[in-house]
Amino acid sequence: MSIKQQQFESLVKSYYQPLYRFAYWKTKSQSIAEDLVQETFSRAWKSLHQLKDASSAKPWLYTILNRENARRFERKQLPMVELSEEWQLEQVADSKDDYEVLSLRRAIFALPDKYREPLTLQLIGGLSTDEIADALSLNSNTVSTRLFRARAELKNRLSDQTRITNEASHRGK
Amino acid sequence: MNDIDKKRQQIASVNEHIESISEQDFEQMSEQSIEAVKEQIEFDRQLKRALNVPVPEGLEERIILNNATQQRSSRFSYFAIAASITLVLSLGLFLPLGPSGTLSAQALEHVHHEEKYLTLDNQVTTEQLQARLDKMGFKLAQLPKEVILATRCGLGGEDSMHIIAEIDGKPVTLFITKLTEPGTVEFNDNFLVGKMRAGLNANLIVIAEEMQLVDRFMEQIGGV
Repeated sequence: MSIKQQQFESLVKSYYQPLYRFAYWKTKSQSIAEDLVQETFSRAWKSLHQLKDASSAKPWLYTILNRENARRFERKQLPMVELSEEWQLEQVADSKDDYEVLSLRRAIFALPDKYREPLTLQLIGGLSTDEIADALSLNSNTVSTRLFRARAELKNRLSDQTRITNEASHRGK
Repeated sequence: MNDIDKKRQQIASVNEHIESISEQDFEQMSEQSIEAVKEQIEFDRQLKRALNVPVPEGLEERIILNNATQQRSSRFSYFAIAASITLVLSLGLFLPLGPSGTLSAQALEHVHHEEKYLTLDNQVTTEQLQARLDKMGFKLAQLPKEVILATRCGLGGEDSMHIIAEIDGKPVTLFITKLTEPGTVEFNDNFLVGKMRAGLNANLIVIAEEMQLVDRFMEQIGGV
């Protein structure tokens, strides 16, 4: 196996899972997320010579994924069937997932993209604020603000969900 | 950074906030501030749990396999498009393979290196192929039909023949060599499969992405 092939397989092994999860929350679709990860690694293979330092592999791959996603919109002019978010969430639900996890997923799905993206890069990708800023072509202060607002919005949505659930259970009594 | 900025940073990125707190600052933090940091850590833990959706089974293998397939396809397309018939490099001179490793492993390595060392190709006619086989002193029961490359190579450090042909648009590689690997009939790595057979006056090693291509090619050259 060539050195390039070894480097590539090592990258795939280390990052395919967080990249897939990031892609899932970005596209809200399992199948598109898988395609996007495939395209990301395909592009990474072609540009592997540009990766000079192994420590920069992580933000590099997320940047590629974002670009490949943008290409997806340029390429595909076909009308797309939008599957309901509720259905998409059901597809990833597991019998072990508790109410807290399911409520949070619903709330994350409902977040505006500009808040969800930095949040998922931070919590799934483990990127620092500066790395997120580079990957999304934003400045670090904007990223910090969006991360702050993302959490504030999630807490609001969760408390709204709890209030609605409590009211419904009171009406049921 | 004022107190409001600090509070925002704490919520925006609790880990980076913790890293930025010196030991002295930490000792001066109020119970309330410590509690707020703990709450933030717990909220992030819940978020990570929610974001941790299942990853499709076998995705890692599919990514690696797709990449290998694309490399093989692009290599083949390159051969098909190129117009020149001149062979610039001799595989035997440039492949960095010594006599170490088994013959089958070296044959697989040669196939993986094909794209690096061949700069062109064209259809090789039956007459051209026969002439090259004669020159090397090799015989085949039947000649392959769609040959795109036929050249000398140094497989195993010996004069061997390296032929690339096509079946259903997919490349199949044949090595003809005097060398043998006793006991080996079939072999493979993560991307390729191969078979070894005794030919008329040398051994035949056929390698492709799928065993059915190997079998069909073996049949085509009368190696079955």
